[in-house]
Amino acid sequence: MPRWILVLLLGSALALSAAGCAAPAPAMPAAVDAATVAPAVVVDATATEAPVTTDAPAATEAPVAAAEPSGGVLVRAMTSEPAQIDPQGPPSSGLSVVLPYLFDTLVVRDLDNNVVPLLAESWDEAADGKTITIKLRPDVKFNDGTPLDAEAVKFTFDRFKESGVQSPIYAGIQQIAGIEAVDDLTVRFTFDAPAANFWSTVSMPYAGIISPSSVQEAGDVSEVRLVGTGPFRLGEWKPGQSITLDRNPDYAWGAAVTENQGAPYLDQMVLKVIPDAAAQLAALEAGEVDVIFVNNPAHRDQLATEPNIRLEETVLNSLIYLGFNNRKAPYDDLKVRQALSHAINKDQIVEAALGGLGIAAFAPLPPTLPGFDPALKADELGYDVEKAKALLTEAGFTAGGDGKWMRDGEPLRAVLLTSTRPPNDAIATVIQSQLQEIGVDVEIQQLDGKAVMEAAGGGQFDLLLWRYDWNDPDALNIFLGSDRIGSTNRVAYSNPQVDELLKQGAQELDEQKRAQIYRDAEKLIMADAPWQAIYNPIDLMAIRDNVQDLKMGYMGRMLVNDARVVGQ
Amino acid sequence: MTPGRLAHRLLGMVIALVAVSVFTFLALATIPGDAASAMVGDSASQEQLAALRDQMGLSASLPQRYLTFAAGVLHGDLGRSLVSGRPVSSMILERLPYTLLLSFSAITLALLIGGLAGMIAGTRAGSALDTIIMGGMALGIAVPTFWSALLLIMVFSLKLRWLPVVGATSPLHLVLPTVVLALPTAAVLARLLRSSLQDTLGADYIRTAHAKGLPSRRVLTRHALRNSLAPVVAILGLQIGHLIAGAFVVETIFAWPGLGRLTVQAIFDRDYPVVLGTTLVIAASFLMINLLVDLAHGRLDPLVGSKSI
Repeated sequence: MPRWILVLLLGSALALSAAGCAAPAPAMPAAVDAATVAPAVVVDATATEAPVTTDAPAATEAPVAAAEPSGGVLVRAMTSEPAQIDPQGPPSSGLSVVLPYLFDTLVVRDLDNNVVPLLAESWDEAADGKTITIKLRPDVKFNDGTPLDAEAVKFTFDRFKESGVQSPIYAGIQQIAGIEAVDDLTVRFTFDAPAANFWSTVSMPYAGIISPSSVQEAGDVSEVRLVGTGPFRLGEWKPGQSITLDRNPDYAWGAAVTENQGAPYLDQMVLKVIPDAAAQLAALEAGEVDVIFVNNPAHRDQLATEPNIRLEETVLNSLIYLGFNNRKAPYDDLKVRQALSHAINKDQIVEAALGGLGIAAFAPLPPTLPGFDPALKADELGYDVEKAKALLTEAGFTAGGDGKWMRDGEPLRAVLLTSTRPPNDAIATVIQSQLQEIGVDVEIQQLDGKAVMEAAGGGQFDLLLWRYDWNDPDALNIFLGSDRIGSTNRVAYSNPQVDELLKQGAQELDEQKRAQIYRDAEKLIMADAPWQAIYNPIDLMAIRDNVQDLKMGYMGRMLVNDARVVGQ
Repeated sequence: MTPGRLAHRLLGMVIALVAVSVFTFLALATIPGDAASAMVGDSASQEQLAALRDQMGLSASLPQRYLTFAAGVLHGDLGRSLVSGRPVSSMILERLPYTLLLSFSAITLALLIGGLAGMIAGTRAGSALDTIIMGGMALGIAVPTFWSALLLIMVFSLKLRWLPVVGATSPLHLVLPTVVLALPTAAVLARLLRSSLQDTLGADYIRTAHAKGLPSRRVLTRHALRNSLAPVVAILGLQIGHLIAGAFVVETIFAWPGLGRLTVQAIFDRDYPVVLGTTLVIAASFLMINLLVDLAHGRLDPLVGSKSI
């Protein structure tokens, strides 16, 4: 705890007791004392170096690593902090921010979706697709000084299979039937069936390789400080405030996604926890942080006029869609789903609700994934109000004098379920007015994210405004496969023909063939209209001009290996 | 207050705390989604979810879960976070000093501003100064906290560059959150003190004091103010509740690492041991402060001291 907090606290307690009320005062200072002694600020447990702890803001400190070129200290705002730093633990936005800097994966992907070697130097896939043999890069050391070897990789994935149930990539990890350390630097993965999404799985930050000794030394779960081979080491962690990452001077095995593949130029990276987006914006403008991520068009417009701030953007592997409850009348009727799809004007949504921070989508897969094909545009159920009305008439609805649709005495009305997170409120309102245009009344129901997932899983909605983020076309199986109904297939879509294709796609190792399989599946899905694809979001990074060569990587990851902060 | 009455009061506080814990527990059980579903990723199957629920002890019945929690509390153990696995008590202790400091400084500032404004306005009721001060105070009550926070950030951090925007790394960081948090409370106190002072100043004994030839300042401080303070002190205890609610918003905007933010995050995560722990701590402090306020009230107003407590 910073000393000034203690001083001010004691001071105010004294002032209060001096102020008169005889009885109350003594109780307070005692409580404060206990509070200030107990919480040992959680610092790294690697014990390889003395933790640098000062009360001054990191930015004003002298460089920590002596005799190294100083690239300065980069401060990035982070919306929430991770509960703990275990790649295999429960996911959170904070965790995915921190992981890539502390833990290296076997491979990563570049912006063109190519697999790029990181800890894996080379690999060999057996013809039947059931064995993958990986050669590890030699001379790689974990941040606790132990060497990276085949046993460490085996240990990592064994631990994952045993206790990683909370992880988003657990299903992918479970496909691995066996892991064997062939020799010091060779690992063999075996599978019961070919696993085409293996590289997607192991390139996710959650699949970072963990030092076995850091797990064994951890003991009590609550103080786990796992160690990886990343370009940074975990430094001081002030709960609720910031996480400081210190440069790993021995780093020499970076992936070929940045020019500098050695140790980062930055001395430190500080991840500052700032939950409120408007406060993040103000902190950037005041120079208290160097980088923020922006998803509010108003904030984007405000930053565009700032002379010392530049913006960089990337399209994410994500899709925002309007899902129909495929099991509930009248949305179990294909014509009704088609009609409502034709009523959606995506360009208007992107303009009015997003201020252009997205690209209108038509296919079930984002343009960044294999299997996407611009030709699928021809199959889109595009904006066409007349067609929408005609389809409703075909479905047996009749328009009353007020323009509202009735069938069997039941009016056509929909509950649109979505989360309170912006920009969902704005999008939902635009959709409401667009459906109003064809005579369908929409009631918007906004809950917090967890509550939406619970309600959607139980089928308690008509329309669902939701999104998915996935780095492999296997996404279609996760979000639209029949065996996922009741969990992630929230729209309860089922088409055996599609299921068959998705199963083939998951096992097809030839990239060309695999992409074709997913194209075929997408065509079928678009004809069934289980959801209407709305847009693929754009992630926007706002950077102060004193930061040089900071890049946006795959899935909106911030690549810092080339970056320097000047003029501090 | 006699020892008997005090014991009675303390017993009431224990009952209130039990009620708070039960209601919080029920509220958490009612909102959709639990920690397990909040935690697992999109690829988890129903079986994985069930396994995780078992592992987290969420599959037990509600009363059973509450009793486990209550038994822990009686042994001084608030349990562990479902998300991080860390002891709830150490998570709270990390945040408590920041919350205590922010509340202390906000209360002090509120008393200063509220007291001064109320006194000036009360002694000059009807004057232009009174109108201006009370207009400002009405604004203080009406303006939502998040808005005044952003406004102050814009003026003092971005335009004038005097104060930092977010964080808790220096005493300067305390200024803006304190002001934002103190304003509504100060406004309420000022209005109350003003009307209370006006009543007192019209009383016969004040005229007598003036007639005795006492200087006005002395009349105000020794006679009028003391008697006008009783209702202000009485309301102060309740204002602490508003202050705590305000702290949830203020801590989030200014990224102040206090209990409020810990609680908000825990609610999003459905991390019920943490929510219960922080709620209990906050409720206990609220009750404690109100007890102290009542004791002080009793000293200021002997009638209250002897009867109503």
